[in-house]
Amino acid sequence: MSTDTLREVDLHALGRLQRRQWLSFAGLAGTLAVLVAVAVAVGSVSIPLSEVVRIVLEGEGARASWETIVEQVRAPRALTAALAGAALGVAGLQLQTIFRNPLADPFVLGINAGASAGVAAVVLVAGTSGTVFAAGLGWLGDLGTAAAATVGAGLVGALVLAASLRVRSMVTVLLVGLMVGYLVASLVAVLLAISDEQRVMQFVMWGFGSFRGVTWGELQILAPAVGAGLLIAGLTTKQLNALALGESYAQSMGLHVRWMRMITIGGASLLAGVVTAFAGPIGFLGLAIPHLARAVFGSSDHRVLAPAVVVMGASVALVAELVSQLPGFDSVLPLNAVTALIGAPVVVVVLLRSRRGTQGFVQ
Amino acid sequence: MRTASIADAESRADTQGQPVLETKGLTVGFRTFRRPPIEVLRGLDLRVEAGEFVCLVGPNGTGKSTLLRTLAGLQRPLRGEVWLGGRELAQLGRLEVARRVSVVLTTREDLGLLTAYQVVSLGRFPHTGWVGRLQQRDRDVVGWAIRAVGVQELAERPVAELSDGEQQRVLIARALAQEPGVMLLDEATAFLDVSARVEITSLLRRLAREQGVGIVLTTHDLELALQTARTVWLLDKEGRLQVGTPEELVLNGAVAGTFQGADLSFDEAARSFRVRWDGGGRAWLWGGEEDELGLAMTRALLEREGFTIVRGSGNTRGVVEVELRSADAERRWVVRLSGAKWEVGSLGEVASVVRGSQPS
Repeated sequence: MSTDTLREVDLHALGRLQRRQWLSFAGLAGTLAVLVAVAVAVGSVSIPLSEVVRIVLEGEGARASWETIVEQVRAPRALTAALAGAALGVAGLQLQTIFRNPLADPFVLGINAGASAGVAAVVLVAGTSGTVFAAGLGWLGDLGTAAAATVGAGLVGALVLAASLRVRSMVTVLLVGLMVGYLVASLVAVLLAISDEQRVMQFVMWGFGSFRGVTWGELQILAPAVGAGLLIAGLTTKQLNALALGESYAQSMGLHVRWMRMITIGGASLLAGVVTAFAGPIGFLGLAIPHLARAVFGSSDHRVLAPAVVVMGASVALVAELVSQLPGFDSVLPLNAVTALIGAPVVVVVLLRSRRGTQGFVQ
Repeated sequence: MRTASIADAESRADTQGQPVLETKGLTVGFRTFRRPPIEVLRGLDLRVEAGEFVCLVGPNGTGKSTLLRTLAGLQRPLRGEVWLGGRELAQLGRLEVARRVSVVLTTREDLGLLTAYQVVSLGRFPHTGWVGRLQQRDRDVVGWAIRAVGVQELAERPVAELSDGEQQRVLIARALAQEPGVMLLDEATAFLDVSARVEITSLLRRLAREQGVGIVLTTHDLELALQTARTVWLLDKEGRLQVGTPEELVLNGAVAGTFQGADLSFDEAARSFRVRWDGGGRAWLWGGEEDELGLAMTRALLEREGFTIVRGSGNTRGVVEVELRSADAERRWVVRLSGAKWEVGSLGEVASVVRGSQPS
């Protein structure tokens, strides 16, 4: 009898979050805080640390230009990076779960293709007709680009969503997303072929991805949209967990599977679409962050994974941004190159070294 | 709270005999786009009581899984009604259905890092709040389900690391943790080796009896079903469903009628199948007094070699005569054929002798 009581105590402890997971989470949160601070403190213009602290705390510095740099350039850039990393990571987690596919990421839904078609339409077509959208289309940061990307991503997202409500198999939905992606990408290629070189270059630059140039005004759109998307994911962790055994089991436990598909694809489209609109199509994070989180936390429980992915995604995006600006140099590396260049080897090493990582690869 | 789950288990046992699942004029099948629905099984009136272990058997493609999915509310009936614990399924909300019926399916999913405990606690889905946080009672039920199925030792291990039989036990515990009136299992023993298959089947029978849950298992394993089920639902190729105790269905020839084919015969008394293989030869087997096993195995060997066993009286031309002499735990066989005679000490030698006598 005594062994039975012991087992019972053990079993009950298992239902709760492990202490190790709390430690990992605390460590990550600390790292994120440090990274935000570094992102605000470091940049191509060197500003003394004491001045940065003064500007952040008191709102004024020794030089007006330093104030502008810290308040209007570095702070929104850090915030954008953190939001984008969190958003893409969570969207990737949601999609890997509902598609039951470790290779799913926000872009399998054709969302980046849709967004780039929107941007291509503005930069390449609308630009030639001289509309307001084209005015001042130097870097990104123009709300016109963002609006076009959002519309493009939204249209493709809606199409895939409609497919997901009609068909029984999620594999079909996945294929529809990929096909729509190819279709739209080929339209973009046609547009590129008939546009002049300078505009093509602008489009290519957008395609590099960047957290820079997002203004506080734009953040007023980006932040609530990302917040809403994260909230959707956060409120459906129980439902995402129920999908671990597949859709039939989930349905047998009382989950409204089609409704869940709609909510999840809709939420992931919102997250990926709005980030792509403001920061360009940033690859890799959506795919890799969920795998990293599973490996580090050793869990497939979405109640652990969702917050883990938020913090981890924000941190990795900030690191990528810091590396891309090459402290001490004037030039800036393409963000997409940096995320994959640093990230891919790290993910491979983590997955190979961790027994848990390779097991958690699927699901 | 600890004792609550034990009290629950007792009250579950008290409900024995109450119907947990009933169907009225149920027709199941598939709806198709633009074409009339395909009816697989028609007009079923079925009933499962609390504590009853039912095996649904029938050849492939007769609609066992379709029926099971319909009973579980995973697909809608074409006509008729399904009643769960006294309420009609169509009138129940999704979560109410899930609190009355749970399933173990054939789909094999990669469960990643989920531990057995976590998988079992997924069964609490229809009982927990929006966040899915397990309350004390939920943890009690999960612990009860884990113990009832006997997977305490596996609780902390990732399910992906477990053997097929262990995984199936964990999935059964998950279905139990849903606290249903009736559990439906689709081919739950299909991928398992013989001993695991027997273990799982007897586990199900024990769960039905001790926990008072109604259990329906679809299976290909007719012999095991006939030995363990309290009730058998027998589906034949024409889509007719016969219900009865195993012995009843054997006695009225329903089992033999459903499964018997050119190469298969059903041995009623042994409740098992024989491969029928008529090589054309005839054999007369005698001797072996007080050595039933030796005689039975000699007979089995001769039948497998394609001989029809005949009685010794009558025309013995062309008949192989096999005499078994058993004494002091030693067996010798004497084989006579058209005047020739062999005396051998093992069944293997008997086989090679009689094989030569077969008309080619």
